[in-house]
Amino acid sequence: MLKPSQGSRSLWRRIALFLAIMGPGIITANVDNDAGGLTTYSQAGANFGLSTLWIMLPVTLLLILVQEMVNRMGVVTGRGLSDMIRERFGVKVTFTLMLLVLVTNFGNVMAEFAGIAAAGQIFGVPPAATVPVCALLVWFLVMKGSYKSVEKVFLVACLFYVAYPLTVLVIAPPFREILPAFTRPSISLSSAYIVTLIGIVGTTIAPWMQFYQQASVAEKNIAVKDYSLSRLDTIVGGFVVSIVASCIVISCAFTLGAQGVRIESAADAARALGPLVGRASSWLFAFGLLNASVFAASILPLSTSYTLCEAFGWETGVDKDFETAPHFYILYTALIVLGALSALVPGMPLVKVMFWSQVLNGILLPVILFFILILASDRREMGTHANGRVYNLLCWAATGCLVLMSLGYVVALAAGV
Amino acid sequence: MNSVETQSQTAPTFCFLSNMLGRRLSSPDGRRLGTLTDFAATLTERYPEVEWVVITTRREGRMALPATAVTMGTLASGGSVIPDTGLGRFSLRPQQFLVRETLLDKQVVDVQGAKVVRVNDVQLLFHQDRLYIVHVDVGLPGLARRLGLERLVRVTATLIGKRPKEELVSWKYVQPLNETGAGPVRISLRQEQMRLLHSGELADIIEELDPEERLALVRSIDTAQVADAIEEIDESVQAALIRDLDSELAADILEEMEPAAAVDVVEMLPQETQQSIMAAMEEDEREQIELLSRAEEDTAASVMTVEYLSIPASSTASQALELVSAEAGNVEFFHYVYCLDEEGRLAGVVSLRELLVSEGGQPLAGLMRTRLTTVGPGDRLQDLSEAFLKFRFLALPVMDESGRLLGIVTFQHSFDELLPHYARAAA
Repeated sequence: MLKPSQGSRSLWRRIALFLAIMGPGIITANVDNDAGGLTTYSQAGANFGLSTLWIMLPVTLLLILVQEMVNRMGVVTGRGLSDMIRERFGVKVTFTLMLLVLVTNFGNVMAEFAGIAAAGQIFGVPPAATVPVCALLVWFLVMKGSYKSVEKVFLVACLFYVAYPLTVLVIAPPFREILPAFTRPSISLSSAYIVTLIGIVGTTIAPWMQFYQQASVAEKNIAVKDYSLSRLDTIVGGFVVSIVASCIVISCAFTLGAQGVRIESAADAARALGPLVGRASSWLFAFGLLNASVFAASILPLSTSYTLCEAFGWETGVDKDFETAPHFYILYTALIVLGALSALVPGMPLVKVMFWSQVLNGILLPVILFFILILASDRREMGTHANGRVYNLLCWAATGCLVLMSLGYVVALAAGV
Repeated sequence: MNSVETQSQTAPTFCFLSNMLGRRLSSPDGRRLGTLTDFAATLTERYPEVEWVVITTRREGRMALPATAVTMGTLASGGSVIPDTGLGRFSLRPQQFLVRETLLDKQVVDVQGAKVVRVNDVQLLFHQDRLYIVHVDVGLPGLARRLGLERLVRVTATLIGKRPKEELVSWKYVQPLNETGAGPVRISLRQEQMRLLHSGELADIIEELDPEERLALVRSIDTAQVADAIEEIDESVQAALIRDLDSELAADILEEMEPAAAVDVVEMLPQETQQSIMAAMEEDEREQIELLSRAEEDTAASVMTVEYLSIPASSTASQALELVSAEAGNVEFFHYVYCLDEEGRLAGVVSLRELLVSEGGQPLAGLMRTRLTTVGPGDRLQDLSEAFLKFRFLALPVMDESGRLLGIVTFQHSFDELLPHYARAAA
């Protein structure tokens, strides 16, 4: 290995290096297609056909822009986002923010377990069986695994999203109609349409993603000179998300949309697909929902515990025992146990839970983006890798857009449009 | 003024930094001086004494006020009216640091607890007219105090019948990690305390730190201790740490490491870094590392170590014994001394036991064993394990075709790698 590198081997070396660096970006992006996201995409397809597809490209760009900043901060500083916020903005700001993060993320965890329960029912398994089993599975995976093994499991979970492109193939829609829909904005001024558009943006970029990606990138000790590969990871992740989202919209558009079926959740969509297209597509859809929910239910509690412990200087890590890192274990376990229990309480308004967790996401996001923009353009922290002036302007503009849309979404949701 | 003087003679009082920060100060004639925003102190081995009060005004920015007995006594007892004699421009002296900027909300190493903690507050002691840093507060009460919720937390704790756990770390055991202030302040005071850490504990701490903090810590402690710790930390952190260090220091650390472990680290580094570190290394150590890194897997060379004792075969037993006692501290394996002829070929081996029972002036030529079991660098691990099982030596010499000694494979050092082969060889 001490020989000088050779030209022909350097391409393979780059590929090998990318495989080693890959992970945080792709995983974060995929977890984002969770129960809440799937519901929004299914509704968009069922209610508005292909007319929301054009938003996918701008959303992808926004997502990449935001995640690229935290990714860069993780590689350059080797520190997590909550660590940086605590050192820069002090204890009061951090404490308030962490309280918000805890509440918001717990809402999301509840929504994921609701998704697990609903997906299980489609396969004929009652929630009383699926929810505890999945909760235990998730808990053991992280408690007994190392960072590396957990990341591998997560990357495999990313592969299962292929269920959605498969559904599209089963349905076999006329592809000639689909492609133009991506590039031709067809804007309708109905309030329901606009809320759906904003909803797609709002569910695709959630606050926990920034904490999770920066922390997991920092943990990988990527060399600053290999940053371009890490950025590629983020970009690939961004595109994978929108491909999956598009497939869901397309599937629902040509089936539910064409028949005028109204749905309230991703599980409704899966159920409705059965009689229309056949059992295979219904099961693929339900499987996709189950995978997404389990995946997100394991990452969200983990990310939340890491974020909080880092901010308050408590010991973290799955390789420590309970005695050394009690805060971490208590938080992690409590999030999973309470999240799972909430999905089992009879009469729990799960659709409402999902709805309110989206509202909280929308409120928290602007705050976090504000901190990120300040930190990412700070030369003391980032040196030459700080946001340049033009790039910063672009980021502020994009963030402004995002903030407006996400606040608009909150208002629209709260007004019950 | 009288009241202040009586205060300075009262019993020592403790106070917290967070209770003093933000206090609006004014002079006895009623003039407003500004807001107390920080203290400047000098890093010393003992408890650092606060030397300046840093006052910030909107108009003039940061100003420094000398920490006189009267001023510090007033501040420690909660007062805010202080004489402004000596108020001047603020600039840090070398070795001085800002207490709040360096410590508050930052991570430090708690050397006694062998862990990384985040500072919620700093406890100061007013004693004999001076204010000293004595503890950092890393617990829940400190956090509550900063948030202005101290009373709430205490009341809640009393209600559930518990007392909130105070977590104060004595300054003696605090290793700060942020380098701030005028010029590069090397925080290298904790040598004695840091030495108390086991290499495993130090490894855990290094893993937990951010890259910059890691570098600050590694630069501040003994290279030999760092080398021991690095052998125990996670591979990816190993590589990242060595990569970020300047090549001189990286080379020094690698030289202190077990050569086989150093090779593993070097091989994980990018090409350019490898080259610059190797260039900064001592000739001998570089050759060893290059030799080991060329070894193919599953061969004798891959489990070989190049740290062994050798001596010209023409020496005497007492010279060999001197060599052993001089080097026993540096070399792990000192049970055999390898005797070389003028061309550097292996002529024989003499064991420590044989040297101890010999007469001092006896030439090694008559003492050493010359019928040797040796292996070649390309020999398979299976052959190696069979040789160990058959002859029960503590180590086997590795020779090239011309009979030159390349290194040795010790039974102990190769045990893990050879274990599966022993099972097969015994069957």
